[in-house]
Amino acid sequence: MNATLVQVTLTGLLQGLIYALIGLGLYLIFNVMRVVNFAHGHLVLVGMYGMLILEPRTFGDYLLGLVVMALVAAAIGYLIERFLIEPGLARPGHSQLVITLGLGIVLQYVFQVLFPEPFESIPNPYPWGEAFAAFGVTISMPRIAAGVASLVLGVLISILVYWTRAGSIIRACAESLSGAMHVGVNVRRTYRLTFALGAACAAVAGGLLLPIQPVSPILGLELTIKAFVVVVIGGSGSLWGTAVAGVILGVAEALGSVYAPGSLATSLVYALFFLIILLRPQGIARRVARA
Amino acid sequence: MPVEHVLQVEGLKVRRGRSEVVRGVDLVVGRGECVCLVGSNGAGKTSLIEGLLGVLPARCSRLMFDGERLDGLPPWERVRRGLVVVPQERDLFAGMTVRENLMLGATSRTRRRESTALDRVFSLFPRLKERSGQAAGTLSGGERTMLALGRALMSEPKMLVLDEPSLGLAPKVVGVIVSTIVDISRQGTTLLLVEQNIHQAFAVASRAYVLEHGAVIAEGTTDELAGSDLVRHGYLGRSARGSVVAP
Repeated sequence: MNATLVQVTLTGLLQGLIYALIGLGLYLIFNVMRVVNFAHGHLVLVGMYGMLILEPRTFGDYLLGLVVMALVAAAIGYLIERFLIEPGLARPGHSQLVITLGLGIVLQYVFQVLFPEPFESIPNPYPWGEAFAAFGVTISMPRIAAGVASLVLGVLISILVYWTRAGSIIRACAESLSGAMHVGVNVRRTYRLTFALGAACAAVAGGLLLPIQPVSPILGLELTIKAFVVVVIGGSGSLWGTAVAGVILGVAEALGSVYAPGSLATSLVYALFFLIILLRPQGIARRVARA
Repeated sequence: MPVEHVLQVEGLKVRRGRSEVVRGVDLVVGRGECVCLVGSNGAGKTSLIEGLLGVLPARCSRLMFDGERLDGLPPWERVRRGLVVVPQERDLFAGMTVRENLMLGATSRTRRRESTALDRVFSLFPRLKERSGQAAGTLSGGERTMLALGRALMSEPKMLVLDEPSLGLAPKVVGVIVSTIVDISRQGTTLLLVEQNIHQAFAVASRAYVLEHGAVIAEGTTDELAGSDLVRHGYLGRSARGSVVAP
């Protein structure tokens, strides 16, 4: 088998796992609250710029930085939900759409003012060397670590959602808001915590992404759209659909960047998106049973 | 002996959108009592319940539940205080299993009491035990009603409000549900039964309120009301005529 093809596919797969983690956050927020968070990509940037500020010099510092960014983003997410999303939820229409879109734009300008230097990054924080090489395939260590870490975090969040009491309350709100209220679930608090969890997913993914990809304020919208693509392709059936969709996006993007000419690469991803929407509008993992 | 009231409502007004659909209702339910609220379609029964729970905007001069004021509390806090409603739409968690649905019913209770509550529900509805691993969305109409009732009982409510529990069910299934409601009442749970079908409601409840255009037009024991002209002509009339016509 062609070593380049293997290398590109593996790189795409690892990148896709990060997309899956970003998408997971958006998926949780969307499924529980029916709110499309157009500022989601900018929350990824919160993680990236946060790590840039923390400037971790050792692996320990880097890990600690990820934890700090998760907590900071969770707090930001909680406040966004409490003060920007919640007031509009009871009203008809989709004010949250405009609110999150506007929030994204505001964040973008804030980043532009605070970080005038474009495309900054941090050096490899991992102690296991710069890259992994075997059979003619070379993959950088931050990529491997970020992909694996995203996978582990995704599994942990799945466990939280599917096997804990808190998770069953989150799923209950997603299934039937009215039902959740009728069993005494504090719906308002569940919303806030879900938004906080979604924001933490985004920011941690950002922290993992930074050693691979230099950060720039304009990256936010692009990441929002990618997360959106992941959620739509994955469908609303399960978290696993979101994970698979993330990997599909990552691999398609990687293959496109190598095998498609120039600027066509990005459009290839969206061509795939439209194709899946046309063939499977319910997403790849939608359950059938619904009452 | 004075009757202890679990629910005491005075001057309840409920708005749905711009119109006032419940216009000053007084209602009391004593502990252990089974009271029914009857009225035709659109009389404001469901709105009254949603006003009680705080889902719809409501105003009243007095809303006491088990010695506490409920006004101003969000719906889930009222549920946590023991006012549990089985809504007309059932509002089950369709993608989750029967067991998960039941366990969520006990959200507001301690874990220790979960298993005893679950045993009680399974003994009331053996069918739910058979289907405990099945997704709620795959259940039949009757089973879904059983699950909604079971889920509500999991929290050991101080008062259970049933909004049209027999709506849309086959006659045979209705019999099962009605006899279970009687059992639940006999076991001591305070019930407020909201029904369009006055025959069924009167067979179960001891006292009744008749609602029309958002106001109570008659109240009393079901025996009294069943004999009154208003109820006989307005509500029991149609079926009485039907029995005359039938050969």
